[in-house]
Amino acid sequence: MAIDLKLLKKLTETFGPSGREDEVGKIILDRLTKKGFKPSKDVHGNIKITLGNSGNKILITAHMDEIGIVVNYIDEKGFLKISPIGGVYNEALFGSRILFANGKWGAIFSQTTNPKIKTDFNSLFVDIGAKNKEDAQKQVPIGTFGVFHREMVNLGDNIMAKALDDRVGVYILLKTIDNLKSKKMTNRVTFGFTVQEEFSTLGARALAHSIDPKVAIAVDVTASDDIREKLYLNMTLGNGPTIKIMDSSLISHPKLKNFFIDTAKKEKIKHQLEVLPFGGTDAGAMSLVKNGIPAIGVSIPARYVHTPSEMVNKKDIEGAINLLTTVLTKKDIGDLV
Amino acid sequence: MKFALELSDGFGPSSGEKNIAELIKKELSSISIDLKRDELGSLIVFKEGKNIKNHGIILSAHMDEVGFIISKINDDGTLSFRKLGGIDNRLLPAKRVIIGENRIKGTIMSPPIHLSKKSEMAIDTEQLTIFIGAKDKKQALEKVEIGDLATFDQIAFEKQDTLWGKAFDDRIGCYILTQILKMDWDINITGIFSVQEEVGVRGIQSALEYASGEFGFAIEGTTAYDIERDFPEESPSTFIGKGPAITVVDRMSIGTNSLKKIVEGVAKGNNIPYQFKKTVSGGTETFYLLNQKNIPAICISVPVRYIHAPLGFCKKEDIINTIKLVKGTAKLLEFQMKKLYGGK
Repeated sequence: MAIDLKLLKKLTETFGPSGREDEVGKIILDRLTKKGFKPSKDVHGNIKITLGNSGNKILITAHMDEIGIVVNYIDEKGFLKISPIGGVYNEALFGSRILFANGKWGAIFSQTTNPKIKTDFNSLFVDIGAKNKEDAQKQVPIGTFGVFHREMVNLGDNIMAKALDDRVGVYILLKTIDNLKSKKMTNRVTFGFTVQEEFSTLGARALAHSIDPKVAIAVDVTASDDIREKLYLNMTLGNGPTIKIMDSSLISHPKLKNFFIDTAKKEKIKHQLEVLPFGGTDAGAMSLVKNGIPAIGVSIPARYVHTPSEMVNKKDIEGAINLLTTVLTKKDIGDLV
Repeated sequence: MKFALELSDGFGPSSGEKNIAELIKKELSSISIDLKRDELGSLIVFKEGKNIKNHGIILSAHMDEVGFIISKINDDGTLSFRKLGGIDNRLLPAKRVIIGENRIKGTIMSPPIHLSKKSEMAIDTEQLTIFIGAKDKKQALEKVEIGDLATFDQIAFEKQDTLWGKAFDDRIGCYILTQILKMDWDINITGIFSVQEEVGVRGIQSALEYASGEFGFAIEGTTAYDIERDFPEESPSTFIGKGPAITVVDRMSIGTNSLKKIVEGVAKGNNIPYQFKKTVSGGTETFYLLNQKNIPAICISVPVRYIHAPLGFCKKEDIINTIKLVKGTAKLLEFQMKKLYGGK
């Protein structure tokens, strides 16, 4: 099964910072509708479809949003001051290009050379080539959202793009849906494409609240440090999807964790274990909803997460689709917990 | 707007909002409403719609203000304290405070400039004490006890086109909510006057269990730093006199985009001046309206200069325009709900 590069390119290059996910949502809605499903959209912008009409309720999510910025002020000369949406990696920003929601472009730079503060958001500004304050306000009004735009590049074994966090998860869910479409389902599996994971995890919380599943799974990227080996992380590009043991928002439910590992072993799916000492995903958010929902994460190791040049391995993507297709058709997944 | 001043003068540091709840109850005593105080002390006011009885909106404002809690009574009769909510330590020395149920007056100590070095000008709260005129611990204990709450001591007043007071964050929101509740409505209006916002947006979470509605609005008094400053290239957040501030995104939540567009449309359509809040700062009850109720929600604020400080002020016209904007938006939603749910 080769990677559908056209779909992944479209997903990663589409505009969708937290709170402004409509364009990504539209791609998903159109695709699912075309394939004969009846996807629905909730008040926050979450999109969902459910496969199967009996058995345990499983919720599996990937988030549509990416990190970005919002314009919060325009100075007298017409330069924009911005605030981060999500965990923006400041050091990667000098010379970055911002694509705004209305299609306008800008470049980021610092107004100081003081090394201590030059990457602080207070020191950064965006230049959109405006003549003055009024011109800037007309072109990119205060409150406009923006993203760090880049095109996706196929590097052979690896793929480099912006927003692989978490459009690669969206891609994996869409492909898993394709795989399961003709299969007889023994679980009621809801596929949720969530909003605002990078900001407040509002989308996943709302979805988990309304569905109240027995098990929740989030598909996302995880950090890898297979270049510098300074962070002492196990996750390596090309060694397969990771089964999350824990991150700073979640300790995966032990029975679920064992089930995923056992299933991967039995089906000979190459995988690795993920202990991430920082970061969190929708899985952590969903685990705290209602009376507490048993949750787990399946992740794709990625280099340079939260920069415009995130990098993942194609084999890991294929492995994740394989693992999820297998796991979601096992009846016992919901009976475990 | 006398009631706005009265509210600002009320005593209501986080967790001790009883006095504010009483003022609000009195203000609303002439209208037909259901009142409930929840377990944490938030006041939930339900006004049933004249026509539509199952649909409506939720408005929230918090009753608490930043303040202090007495943590220790010292041998020399002075009181040690901790802050409730975010107050800049530099503001504290030599400020008058008012403490506990007996409203004991005191002043926070201040090192005389003759004896202090520049480096000591901002002192940790841990080292500051309040003097209430007691000569020793025994005398102090006759007036106050550990756990007593305190606020800045400041009477509100009106001056030309401005209102001045200590607690416009968020008594100005409380004031606006009471005015909205007094109007005629065909849909349900639930007003939540919440507790403990300044110490972690707590009260709204339990209060929302008693509220329902299709749209949520947090009404706030927010930061305006629009004077000449050291760093003119930095955002002043909001400007006083330029109308209600709509929050696109704050530290905790992103206002629902569709609702933002509706509010903006109402402002434009009715010639109500408005502005966007120009910093991503502060967390508001919007987060819980979105999260707990799963409804579109947004925060609308009155710009106030010097919030979380002993004395702040705001413009009357901003208050009037905020009421207009909230009312106009709610009326538009009312119209839509009547179209959807009304009639036979």
